[in-house]
Amino acid sequence: MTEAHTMTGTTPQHDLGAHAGAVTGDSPPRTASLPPSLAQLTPIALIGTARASLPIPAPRGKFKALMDAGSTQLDAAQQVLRLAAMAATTRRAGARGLLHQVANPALTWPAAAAETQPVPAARIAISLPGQADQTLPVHGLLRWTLEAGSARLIHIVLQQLADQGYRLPNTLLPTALELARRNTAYRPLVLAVLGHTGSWLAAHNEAWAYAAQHEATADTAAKPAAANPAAADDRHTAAPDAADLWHCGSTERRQAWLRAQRRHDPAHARQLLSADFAAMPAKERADLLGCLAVGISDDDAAWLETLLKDRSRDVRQTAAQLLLHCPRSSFVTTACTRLAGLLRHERVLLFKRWHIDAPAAADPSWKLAAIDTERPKHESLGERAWWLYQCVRQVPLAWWQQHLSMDPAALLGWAIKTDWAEALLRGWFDVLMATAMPIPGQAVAPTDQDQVRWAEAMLDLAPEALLRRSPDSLLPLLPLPARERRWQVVLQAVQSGQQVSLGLLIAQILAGCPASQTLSAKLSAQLAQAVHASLASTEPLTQYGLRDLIVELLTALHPDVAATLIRRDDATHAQTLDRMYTELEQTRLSLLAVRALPPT
Amino acid sequence: MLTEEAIVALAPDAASVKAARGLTSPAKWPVLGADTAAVWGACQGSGAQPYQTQVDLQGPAFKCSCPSRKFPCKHGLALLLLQAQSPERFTAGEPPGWVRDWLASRRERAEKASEKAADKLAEKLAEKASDSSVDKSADGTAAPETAASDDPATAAATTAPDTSNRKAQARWIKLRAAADDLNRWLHDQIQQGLGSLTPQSVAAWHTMAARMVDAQAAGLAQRVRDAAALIRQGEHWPERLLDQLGLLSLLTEALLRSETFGADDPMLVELRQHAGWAYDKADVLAAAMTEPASPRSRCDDLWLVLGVAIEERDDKLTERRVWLQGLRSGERAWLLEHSYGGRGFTQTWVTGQVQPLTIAWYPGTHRLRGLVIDLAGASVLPSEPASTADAGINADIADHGTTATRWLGSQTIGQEWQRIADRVAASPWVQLHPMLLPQARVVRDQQRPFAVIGDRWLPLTLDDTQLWLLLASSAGQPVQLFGEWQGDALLPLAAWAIVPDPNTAPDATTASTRQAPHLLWQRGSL
Repeated sequence: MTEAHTMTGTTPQHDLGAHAGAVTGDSPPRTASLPPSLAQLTPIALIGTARASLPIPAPRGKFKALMDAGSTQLDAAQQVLRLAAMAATTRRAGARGLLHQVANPALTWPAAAAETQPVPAARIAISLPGQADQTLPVHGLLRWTLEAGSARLIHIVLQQLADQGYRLPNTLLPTALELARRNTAYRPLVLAVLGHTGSWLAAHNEAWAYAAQHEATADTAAKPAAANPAAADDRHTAAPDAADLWHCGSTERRQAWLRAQRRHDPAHARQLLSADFAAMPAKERADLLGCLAVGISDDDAAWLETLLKDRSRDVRQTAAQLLLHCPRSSFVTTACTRLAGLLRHERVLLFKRWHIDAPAAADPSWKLAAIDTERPKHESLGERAWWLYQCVRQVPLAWWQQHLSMDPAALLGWAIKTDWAEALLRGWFDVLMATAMPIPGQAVAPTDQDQVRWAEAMLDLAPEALLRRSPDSLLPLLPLPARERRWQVVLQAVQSGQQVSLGLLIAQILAGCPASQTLSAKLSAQLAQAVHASLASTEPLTQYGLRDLIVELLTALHPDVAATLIRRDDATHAQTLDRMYTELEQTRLSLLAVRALPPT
Repeated sequence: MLTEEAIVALAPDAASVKAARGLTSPAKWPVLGADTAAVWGACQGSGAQPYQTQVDLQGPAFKCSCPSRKFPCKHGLALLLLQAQSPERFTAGEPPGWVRDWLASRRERAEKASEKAADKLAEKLAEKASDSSVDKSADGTAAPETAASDDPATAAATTAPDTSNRKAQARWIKLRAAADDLNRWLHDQIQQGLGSLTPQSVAAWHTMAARMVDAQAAGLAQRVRDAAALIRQGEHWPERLLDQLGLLSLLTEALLRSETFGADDPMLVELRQHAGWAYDKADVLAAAMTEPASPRSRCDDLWLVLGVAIEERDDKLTERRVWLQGLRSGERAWLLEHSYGGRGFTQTWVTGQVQPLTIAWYPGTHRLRGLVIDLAGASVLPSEPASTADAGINADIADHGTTATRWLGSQTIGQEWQRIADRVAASPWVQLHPMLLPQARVVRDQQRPFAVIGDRWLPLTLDDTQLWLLLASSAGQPVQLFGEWQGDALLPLAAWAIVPDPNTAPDATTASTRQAPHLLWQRGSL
């Protein structure tokens, strides 16, 4: 018998395993009958037995016998190799993982709290009139949506999941968290469908900190949530322990929570915010302050006015914008007085005419009124026009109608003829946007017909060159029929072969139609027809990006019409359009699946 | 029918899965059909003619008229995905000509192959018979036939070696010469000191490896290359290098003394396999077929697929490692297969699946690596009686999910470490050990993933994408984690939900334990 053989073959096999103890870890060996460790042997092997004669540690017990076995005397290098063989073998046989003697914070992480939101069923049966029943793979379509769907589809699908009370399946959480990490616009939507597992997962990855919910919240979230009458984006705030969320949450989580609080108890929410306000960094102050737009009233004015002196320009501007909603605040009345001083009603020949002049010099009182005397570098307005523009931005639109006794269209007609057209138009545009869409990108239903009339007048009369932007962003302020009438006009121009591209119209429709809305069946059908005509034409889709626009348009069409956009029959260009048809079909199925989800 | 996850696991890479998902809209498939043997469809591709895609469900095996070099191609995967998603879209009925022809040719080829295998087996068996007759005549006793009895060393000891024995003897001599060469070289390295190694030394080590290849000792060559890769790489490299060299010297010393081992010592087989003298599959099968079933050569059982690792070795070679658990015998089996040039594997293994199989063991000091005996092929052998256990196993098939769940729930971490220790004691050169962690929490500490069991931490070999999926699937709860223990770290392959034990959790309904294991996660293509 040789030592190699003894060690590996016929020794009672449990011997090595049982005696070796923990050797890969940092725990001490359990018994003394171990060969010298690799750490002891390594210095000898590093230097080389021919170069220096370091003492070679002697093995004991069974291992000594292994060392002595064999016919010949071992030289130093042979001894080192044989000892290394023993160490390597015992180390492998006795491995038990690493022993952590110090308490490690990773171990104290609790598991994700039990879920209260369910995951949608893996499959859903769909029956459409005139079509065979079909089963749709919901999870697969959700995955496709997150990985390859258009922005609007992602928006619709996530919103629908949240509205019906579902969360995402666990296997899609990393994809969703990564998606919203890259594109912040998805964050509120993704937060609402992460469930406790998603929030827990996010807390483990610095890149997903925006969605992290820390242990304290996760624990309390496991308790039954207090009934929260609620709009969709309140759902992830179902955990009742407000203090935890408020103190430990990411900015995104705090924003969502603050908006929800504003719906129930605006004054309490404002007090919470104001109590912590001074300690927050500027960015967070501005982000959270924006949430006061929910449920804003004259009650908020006193605190908002104190913020006009804030160190951060963003905070000052946000406060000033919010104050537009407080017509009785001293801020607004001062602003109105200031503007009144710039207006003159003068007689010209037989009738009177309004004349406006920009401030001639900067006023020291502006410092407390969030008006910057210094003109930004790239500002297209002159210095005085810049001052006037800022003054206009602080005055509610209703004041103009009353003070000048004109309706919005007349006001616009007047403003364009003045010397200060750009300052006036841009100021009005800002006021309209700030009051109609207090949360960026989210239009509130116009509270009065005046807002609609302002939007209509801007869209009709305000030249893009003066506004320095497209008035199309005002489209969501119009009721759907009014918007559709405008698009119909453009569509006719497209169809009569005028120099208007279909792509431009689709882009306009997508920009002007919030994800929560779909077009009427009538316009949808007309658009589908126009798309088909375009696909069938001899030079289809030469315009860059039109294919993607067509895919996205599907999400805005009336559900009854959506299916007809996928007719393959007229596609003589099947090869080049291959990818587009696949995407159209997947988009259609995804919409079908999420729209069919029953409420939880 | 396969689940979506199982289909995805068949894909050669992630890009194929993505491409296949894009093809799962029924509009792309003007023709879709299925019967009990096959699934077929015509997929509108970029050409004028639609591609003809078909899947033989025995296997499953794929065929497609597209020009893709991937196997299976995206069309084949899409076809199966589509069937999993919307089976109602597949018309049942007679397969079209192109499907019938292909299936028929496959059956024909399979028959031919099994005939050929049977011929080869018969040859081996005849050889064996003559060997044992030689044994008997040589020492006059009816030596018990063992799996290793056809070992060349045995033959070398007999008085009338035939041609193959002479060849084997020559190979042993060559192998010992190579071991001697390597042994001296190792000795030199320790004399000169590992500290004198420079990044340039790697080339010299590779020259040594090439000498081992020339001596038909690919296993020794691989160990030299693996060790060379450690030179001046990472923390504690001298210690890790010495560890490798120590094991390697154990192998060369043992090879040098192999003449002194008993002729039927399984260690001989162990040594030759680690040196790179592979064992012929036909020999393994022959050993398993001849005598009345012996636990040393074969094992009939219900086998649970614990995990599958698919690894692309280079652009030509794909390696697949399948780990099976015998639910009654407690044996664990390792199937190692290679596929060249992206041709894919003929047999599909789906993690979590349970099926009755006969495994033929490779000979050696421990049972781990095995081959699946093709029962259909084996039946052509006149000497092979029908397995008597079949009836019992069939009765269990309906219940096999429950059996698997029960088995998974009954494991302890102590048993796992003991299994590894036993295997290392039997053969220290085994590099991959199957390991099931019964109650592991997956955690991330200082950017690195670990499995935590009690007070022990096992580093995990897992890229970020896979880690986040595993974490999301576990939601921080303990899971049953299966993987390959590599000595210092675990390569996770599958994670199962822990099912409450009905004995300790009386409120758990019986129904909840009577279910197939719930697979939470499995590793994608490496």
